[in-house]
Formats: sequence, C-alpha cells, structure tokens
Amino acid sequence: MAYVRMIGRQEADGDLLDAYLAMAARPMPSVYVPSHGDAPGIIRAHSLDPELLRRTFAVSGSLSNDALPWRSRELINSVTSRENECFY
Amino acid sequence: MLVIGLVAMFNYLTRVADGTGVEADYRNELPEFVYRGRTEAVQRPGPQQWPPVDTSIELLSALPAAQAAWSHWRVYVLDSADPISPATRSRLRSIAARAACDGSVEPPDEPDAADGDTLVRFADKLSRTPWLMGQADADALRSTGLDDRAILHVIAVVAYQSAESRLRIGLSALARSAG
Repeated sequence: MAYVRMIGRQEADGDLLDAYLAMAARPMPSVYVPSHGDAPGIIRAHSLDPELLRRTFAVSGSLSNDALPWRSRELINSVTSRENECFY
Repeated sequence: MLVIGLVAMFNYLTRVADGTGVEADYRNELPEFVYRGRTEAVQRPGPQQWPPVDTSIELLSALPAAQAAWSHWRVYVLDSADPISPATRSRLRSIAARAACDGSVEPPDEPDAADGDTLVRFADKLSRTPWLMGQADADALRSTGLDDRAILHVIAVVAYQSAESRLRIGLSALARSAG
C-alpha cells in the first residue's frame, strides 16, 4: 500500500493520461515492463503532478543513451539503489 | 560524466520510491536485493571534511540533451510556487544538501514555521535513511495540513537535491582530476 495517493493508468485522464501514453511509447527494456499491466510504480508515484512526471522522466530518458550499454547502466543503477538500501 | 549522472538520478528515484511507498514491480538479472537491516545512516564526516563543490560548474555540460532536461526539471522542482512555497523548498533543499555533505547550499534566513519540525524530520530522514521511510512519515506531514500532491513535492525536492548535490560533488571532483 503506497503512502501517497497514486493514480493508475485506468483512472487517468487529461494531462496524466497523455503523460502515461508518452511514457509507454518510449523504447523500454522488457524488464521494466511490470507484470501488473499498469504503469511502473516509480512513474505512478509522480501521478499527482503530470508535469513533474514528464520533466523527471525526460532526464532519466536523456541519460539512457548509447554511450554506455544498457547492462552497464543497469549495473550502475542497481549499485546505487543497493547503497541506499532500496529495492528499486 | 554519464556515470555520475546515473548515480545522481538513482539517488532521486530511490528516495521517491521509498518516500511514496512504491512496491517492487520489476526484477533485473542481478542477484535479488537483500535488505541488510541497517537502521542507522552511514556516518558523515564533519563539514570541514566535506568535498569542495564548484558552484559555477554547469551540470552535465558534455551531455547537451541531458543538460537541457536536467535544467528544465530543476526549475520546476526548486522554483515552483505551488503546492509548497519557494521558502519551504529552500529549507528542504538545504537539509538534503547538508545530508549529502554539500556545503554549497545556504540554509534559508527565515525562521521555521510552526510545522517546521515535522518537515525537517521528514526531510532529514528521507535524505539520510530513505529505506526507513513509512506510512507514519507521510501521515505526519498530512497532520500539518499538507495534501498528497504537496507531500509528493516535499519528497521530490529532497530527492532532487540529494541527486544534485551528488552530481555537483562528482562533477567537481571530475573537473579537479582533469586539470
């Protein structure tokens, strides 16, 4: 149960729905596609502010370039998460 | 520079995940994460031992697309007037920066509001021990009158500054090593 309200894809409309559709259209490794069928939790965490959602994931998208292979980026991300004791 | 940017970004995302209570919904090929049960923050050095931070450094200048996106993000997170005030953002920002051993962000001059202690405790915990965040922490902010969108912005400012401080510290070190 999340600590802050989150709006899923089924309930979304307007700006939030547009933001979800734009995120879903981005190329994404299959490992990032959750089995629950909704938007990934970290994206839904921003759902109360679609503009914050858009600007935040524009940064993560811009850092996901080919200067480093995906597996290396994923390793860096995972080490950072684990240093923060975070599963994400 | 890309590695520093990725580390910084994941210092944002992990704090948002922990502060909002996102549940795990993806798994990569690495060994499964096992929580080590830490209940204390990693010991920080005293301010006299904090790394030098070059405040004039341009964030991600060698990565133009990332630089533009980061700048666009920064303005929204740090300067928006709604749903929390710029003064509150400034206070949160300085708490997160100090927790990251970044002395380049001055604390605000204005005295804390009546709800300041709750806000300060929340920001400090999210900065130093994000994995210990729970429902009670969000509820404490609600008890001061903040709604869920405002709580999201509190989390975003703390998480953002946790990222920016690490980015500035890393880029400053990179600049020193280059020259």
